[in-house]
Amino acid sequence: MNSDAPVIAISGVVKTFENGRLRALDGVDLNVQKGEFVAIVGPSGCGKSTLLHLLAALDRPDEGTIVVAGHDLAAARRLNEYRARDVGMVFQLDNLLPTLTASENVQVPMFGQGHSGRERRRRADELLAMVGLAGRTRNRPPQLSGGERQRVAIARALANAPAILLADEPTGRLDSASGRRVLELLEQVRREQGITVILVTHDPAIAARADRVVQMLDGRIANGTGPA
Amino acid sequence: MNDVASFIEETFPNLVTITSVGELSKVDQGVEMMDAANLAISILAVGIGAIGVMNTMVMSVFERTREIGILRAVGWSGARVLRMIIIESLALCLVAAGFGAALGVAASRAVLFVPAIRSLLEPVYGGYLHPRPCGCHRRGSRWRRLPGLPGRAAHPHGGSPL
Repeated sequence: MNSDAPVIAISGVVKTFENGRLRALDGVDLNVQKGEFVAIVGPSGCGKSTLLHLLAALDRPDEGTIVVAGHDLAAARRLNEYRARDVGMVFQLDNLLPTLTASENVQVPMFGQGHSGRERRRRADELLAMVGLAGRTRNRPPQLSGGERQRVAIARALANAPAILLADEPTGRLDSASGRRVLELLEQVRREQGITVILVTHDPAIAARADRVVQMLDGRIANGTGPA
Repeated sequence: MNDVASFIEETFPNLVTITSVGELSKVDQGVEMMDAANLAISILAVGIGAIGVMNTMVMSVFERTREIGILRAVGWSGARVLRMIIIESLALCLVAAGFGAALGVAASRAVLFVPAIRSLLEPVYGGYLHPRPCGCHRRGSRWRRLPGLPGRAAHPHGGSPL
């Protein structure tokens, strides 16, 4: 792949729901370069989360093309390897498995990726230490605070060293101190590992910390498609 | 006829002979009633069990939808999720079968402390114990030990296979 080629190239993407009555995305074009930190902002229902879900291959577009790290997401049939290796997703709700420990939650994406049990545990411990939870590896999600759970979710998203980290309002349900800690963590990951970060947020203060802010309105991008 | 009956009862002390058709019909009617009651209770038990299992499975599906969604979102294939569920189900079945069999044996021993039941039943634990709750084994009820009918001596295991 050309080094100048965008790591994410979205062209003419349309996504509808309710048999076409609800048009969540209406011809979205967007390019993101490798290592960029992009914030997607806009009012509720403008299509931010839908766009992120398409990038995470949790859903498919009705029209248009989405090419992420060389994968054509609209055309590809089996996307589980893409979801496991190429992207990491952090949700607004941490979406951890409550019966597993923090370490086991981080190991979940590593199953089926050729790691031994020892390698999985070691990698999970490293990631949890990186997010400041070295002493909490054996705790289960109900024993952790909201901020700690979100940091475990970030560690899980980084489990297979993805090229792209997608975050859907990761600070939306956190107090300001925990939210700040999570944001710092995302910035640290991007700085140290060169990961491309796409962050969806309502909060202009959070968006201001990104390299580029993409404003969405009524299923369209309102302020240009490429890097500034 | 009476000589033959006496000979049989002397030779096989555990057997009781029936020499008149009227006596046979009374005993046979009793057996038929017991069979019918047995069948009705079995159907009821299987029905209640089936509703319980269905309820558990429906709740399990609702509870696990989110978990399966998370696993798929972090890159697990459908085949891997299916394999996980099958392995879990098999493990659960094996543990449940062990506990269930032990509980069943204990319960069948416990009911023998009731004198009225003790006079009717004597549990026998054989390989055919497990198919019976599935309705696959009907022959056993013929061997039930009732007053006036061949009991222990007539059954190869020395009692009723209930």
